[in-house]
Amino acid sequence: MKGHAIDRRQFLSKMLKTGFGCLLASLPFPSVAAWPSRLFAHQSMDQVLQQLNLLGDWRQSDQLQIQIPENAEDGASVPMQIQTDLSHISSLRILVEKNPTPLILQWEIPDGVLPFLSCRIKMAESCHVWLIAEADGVCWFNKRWVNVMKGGCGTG
Amino acid sequence: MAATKLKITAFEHYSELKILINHPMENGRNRDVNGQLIPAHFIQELQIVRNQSLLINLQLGPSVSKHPLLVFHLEKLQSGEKIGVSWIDNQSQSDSVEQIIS
Repeated sequence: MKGHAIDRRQFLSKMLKTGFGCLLASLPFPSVAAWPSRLFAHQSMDQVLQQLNLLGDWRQSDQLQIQIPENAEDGASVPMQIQTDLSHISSLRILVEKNPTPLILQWEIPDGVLPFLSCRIKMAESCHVWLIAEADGVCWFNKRWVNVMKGGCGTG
Repeated sequence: MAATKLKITAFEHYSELKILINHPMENGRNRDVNGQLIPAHFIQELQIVRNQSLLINLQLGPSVSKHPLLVFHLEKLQSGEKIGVSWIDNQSQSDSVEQIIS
């Protein structure tokens, strides 16, 4: 019984110290949510969507415009541009279905920012590129097929 | 090595922010000439601040191409407004630039 009591004391003291360490670690960036490492981890797109757990109706819309080449020679750098006429968009996400890390980027869109982004992405192989936008309880999505000649995500 | 460039262009109804960052964006799946894996090194967060208040917090994964070129459209900025762009990567390296609209 005595052994148990000491174990518990040590456990509690370790727990307090760890808790304090976590508190310290979180201090430098108090105002911004931490980078979600699990969302950007190596996994399938289904697993990302499961974690995102986006609520509301899923509706496909061509008003979510994805401009991306149909044939991409080099998967290491595929230029893309997204924009939409849909109103009340609160967040945008780009996902590449067959990438080892399918979530490319995500951001919340406040007033004063137009739902537009141009960037270059990596693609491992031919697949769909998805754009998902949250707006007023609806999950708008659209996707475009891209043929990739040379994979751009490395071999692992 | 890391350098960040910001170019702001005014259009009729909006202002365009062009951000170019010199960064390897390694996803940890590429190998060097000796066959060794190159450690992951990529930008995780990019923040755009308008007059001291956070406007955009873009969260990125390792699937953004190296030397990212990102273009955003903001509602038209007025003369004297200040735009700041900063980023931080998974190795805690960071950089920032600032520009005042003329």
